[in-house]
Amino acid sequence: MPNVDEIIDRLGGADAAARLTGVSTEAVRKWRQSGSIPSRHWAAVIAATGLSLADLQTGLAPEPTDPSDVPAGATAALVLADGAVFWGRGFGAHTSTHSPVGEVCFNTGMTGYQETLTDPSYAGQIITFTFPHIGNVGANPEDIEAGTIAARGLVVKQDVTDPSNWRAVQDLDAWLKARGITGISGVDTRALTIRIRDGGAPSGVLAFPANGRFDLAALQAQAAAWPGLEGMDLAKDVSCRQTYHWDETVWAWPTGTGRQDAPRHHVVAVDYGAKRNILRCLAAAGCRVTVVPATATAEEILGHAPDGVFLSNGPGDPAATGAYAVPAIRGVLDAGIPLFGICLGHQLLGLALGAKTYKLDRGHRGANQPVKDLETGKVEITSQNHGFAVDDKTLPGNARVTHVSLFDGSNEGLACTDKPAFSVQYHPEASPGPSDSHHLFHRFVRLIESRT
Amino acid sequence: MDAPGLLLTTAFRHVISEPTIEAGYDRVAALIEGNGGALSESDFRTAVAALLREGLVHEPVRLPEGALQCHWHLELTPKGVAAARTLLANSPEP
Repeated sequence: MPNVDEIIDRLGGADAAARLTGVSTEAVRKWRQSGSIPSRHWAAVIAATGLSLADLQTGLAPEPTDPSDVPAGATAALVLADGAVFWGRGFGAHTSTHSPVGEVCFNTGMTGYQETLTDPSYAGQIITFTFPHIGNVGANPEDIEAGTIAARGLVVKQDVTDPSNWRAVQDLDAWLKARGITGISGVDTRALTIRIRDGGAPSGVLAFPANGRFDLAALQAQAAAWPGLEGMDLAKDVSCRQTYHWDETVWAWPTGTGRQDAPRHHVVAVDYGAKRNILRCLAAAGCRVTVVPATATAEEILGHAPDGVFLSNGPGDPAATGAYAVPAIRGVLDAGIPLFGICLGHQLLGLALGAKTYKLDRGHRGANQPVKDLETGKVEITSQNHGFAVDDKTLPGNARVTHVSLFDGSNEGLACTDKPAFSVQYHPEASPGPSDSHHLFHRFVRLIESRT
Repeated sequence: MDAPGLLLTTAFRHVISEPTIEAGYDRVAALIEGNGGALSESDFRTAVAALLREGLVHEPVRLPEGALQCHWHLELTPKGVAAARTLLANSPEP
């Protein structure tokens, strides 16, 4: 394994190394002294010497924490479990001793960052936005899908600019700061996304220390020690703590959201991390909605005498949440109550029917995902956010596949053949995203009406 | 020769690997100017998109092994190499 002196020799000596990496020879002398080369120069060193990243990571001493070694202008870093360090400029809240750690995913949506950030399904994740201009329409009090932000942080390409939108009441930086969420800008999000695409979603830590000092070795160790989302039940963390009622309907210009004051049906929605627009869509479709916690049993759900039961979206591994959710769902299915599931609710229905779920290599996150309805042959452009999927090969004989992803062929929907139950993996409520699939809420209502 | 043709023949003769597309344009434009030609940045971008669409060049934005930043490459596919050879064979230019 080459040491620093050998690497500098490979670069053609101190002068050549300085020229190649754009630093002074004094800086190169400092490399020799500290026994390490700052990670911001690794790409140039790798290109010039033919060494691999592993050579640089294992052959050198840990990254120094001297503030003078932080790249000029950098105030924040995204440190991955494999030691890669993406430097950038921090915004939102400063991080404390325990920097936010999570699975680094990417979202391809071009709009709706505020709805994305407040989607509870992003619990445990650091979101990389592939669209470069995030924050340019500010923040408003209406485009939120939950009261708090479940995501651990965000990574963006361009610096957040002043908002330019008639609905904005705050800039994104202040909005995040007030909610204790950290962002980093100036990162090559294409490079990060390619890493995720090719190598799977890594664990990472976001650091934006107020004092500007980075303990990179500790941050990498924190990322490496994070257990990952597989096997993690996060629904309990983001679910409501007690039952409540919902009557707000979907937002429409120019009046905004409305109220459902003449509901025709009563739906119990099990909250595994429900987005508010799902509840708005149910209310707009004519339902009185009672929201119950994720841990509600079948008896508690049926105790509300619902006309239909809805299983919400949510974060984490469905197999872990299924430990308490599956018995409740089986109880509802046995009672013959019409049932509709979205996202995690879809996966949990699959588990309740006896199918298995698995973790996708890179997940589907964005507002531009094509899905084919196998019954009609129509393609809908959908909003999606999921890292796990139902293995349709394990579906029992009393369930059929209704929708598939046109990106990777994975399962996007199922329906029971002997019970009034169906579900989709994607998000028909959009928010953010296209409203191609809003009709599914009306399909659910028609299913309820066919049974009453 | 049109802009896509200029790009094809330039990429056939030279290795184009730059940090960004802007730097890529500077290098390509300098090479073309060296041969007495000219290529505007707008024509360059349109031509790159056309070559990519037709499968004559690989995706230009790529992440080198181990790097933390994407780089911009103009690299011909086998189909692009064949197209460049045909162009050069039929061209009176040196």
